[in-house]
Amino acid sequence: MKNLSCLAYLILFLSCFLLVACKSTSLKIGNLDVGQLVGQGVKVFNAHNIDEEQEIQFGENMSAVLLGVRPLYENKDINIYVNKVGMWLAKNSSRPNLPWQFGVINSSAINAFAAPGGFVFITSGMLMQLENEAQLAAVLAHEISHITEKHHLNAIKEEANRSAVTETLFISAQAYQDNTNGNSKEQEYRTWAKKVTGMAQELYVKGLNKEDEFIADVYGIRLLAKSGYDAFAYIDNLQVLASISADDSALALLYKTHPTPSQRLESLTEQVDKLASNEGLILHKRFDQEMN
Amino acid sequence: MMLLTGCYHFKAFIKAILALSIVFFTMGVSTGLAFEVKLIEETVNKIRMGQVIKKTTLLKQPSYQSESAGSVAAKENINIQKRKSAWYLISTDKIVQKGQVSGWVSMLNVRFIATAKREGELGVASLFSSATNDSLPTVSTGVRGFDENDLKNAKADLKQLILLNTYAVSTGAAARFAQQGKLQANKIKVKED
Repeated sequence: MKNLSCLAYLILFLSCFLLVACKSTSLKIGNLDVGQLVGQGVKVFNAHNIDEEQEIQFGENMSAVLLGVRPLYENKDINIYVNKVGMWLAKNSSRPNLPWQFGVINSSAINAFAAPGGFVFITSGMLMQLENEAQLAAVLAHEISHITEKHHLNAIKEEANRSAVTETLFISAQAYQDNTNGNSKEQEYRTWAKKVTGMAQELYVKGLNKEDEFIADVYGIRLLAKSGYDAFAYIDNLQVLASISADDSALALLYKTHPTPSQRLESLTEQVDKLASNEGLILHKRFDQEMN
Repeated sequence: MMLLTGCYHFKAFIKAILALSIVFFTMGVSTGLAFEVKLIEETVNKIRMGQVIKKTTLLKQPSYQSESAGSVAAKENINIQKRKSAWYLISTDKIVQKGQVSGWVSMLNVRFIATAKREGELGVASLFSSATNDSLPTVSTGVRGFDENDLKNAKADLKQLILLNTYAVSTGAAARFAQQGKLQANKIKVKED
């Protein structure tokens, strides 16, 4: 028994020694800089147990790729307006304390995206289709619901089972580079970027599970009502999308990754009936003012 | 004397016109405001053309409890005038022929017919065309789109992330914004839940 205790102390001592050594010598295991992780106090990655800090970093990395496709629309006022609408919805969501950030991506495509940890994007092409604030809130509420329900994290857990997920996805480019010497920084960044971009493609080209899209519609329309907006603006949006030709190039990625607007409308029939007695605001005047 | 009397009448006449103008102006402003409030409450879309996807009951009021005013056949063209809650006020040529102006149908049974918006780019399109970093998005070419290939060729842009962060607002600012718009967080009313 005494020998067993001694052995336990020895293992503990060696573990501590190894961790300190990792930190001071920048020991790397594969591509993972253990020294940096220890220095930051980041837990070692486990795809099935991703904590909020890792979730936010992952979302930030995915957002960097989305913004690498097309940059933010330059008009600061419009971006701030979208942030105010989004933050009001997020405040009424089940995860109000995430560091929510919203942006308008400068693209003719009609689409919107979410990344874990509170990152939501709407394209300027989608914004152009809208006529009032409730419709804008409807688009954002759908994306917020993907984040509150952790749909992307669930998707990468499935990826993790196929070994496509690495720790790199949960480390910032800065942290990845900081612990390397000057000569290899560029190469380290390329390694980081390749893995991050690969995962973003996987998530945003393949899209989420169709069932998750229907769930985000149900949670989205309820979040809209809960935040004081006219919940039926959600239906308005889908009807506008349904009226655009399915072979319109602006809708290509949206159609590839989502059920058709008609399928979504059909699946919302029950919700519309259940929410019929809710009355909310449309705010088309404020929307027009902010857009002009 | 005649001239003085004439002047007096003329001044009275001008005063009367002024008083009447003020009355009409005040009435105009107040009715105008009332009309505008009504628009905010009920109007969502400009008048749109649409179709019902299946035979749909036309109701006199926007409620399932309302008296029926007839029906609209599947694929029949309709003019959508306004929305109230989950109902559209619509009219069709057939309805008008029957001496009726309009009726309400469930919005879920309606699909819009493609409008000229995609071709004409109305609404906020002008805003995006006048901005410094963009031209009006071209629908047909998708040059500035966001498709599968764009994602495959993307490089993470860390500077844009920093810019995104500068646009973030606090929950307090969002609450004030909601208050300005008279938005109130509600406990939603869900039937049979």
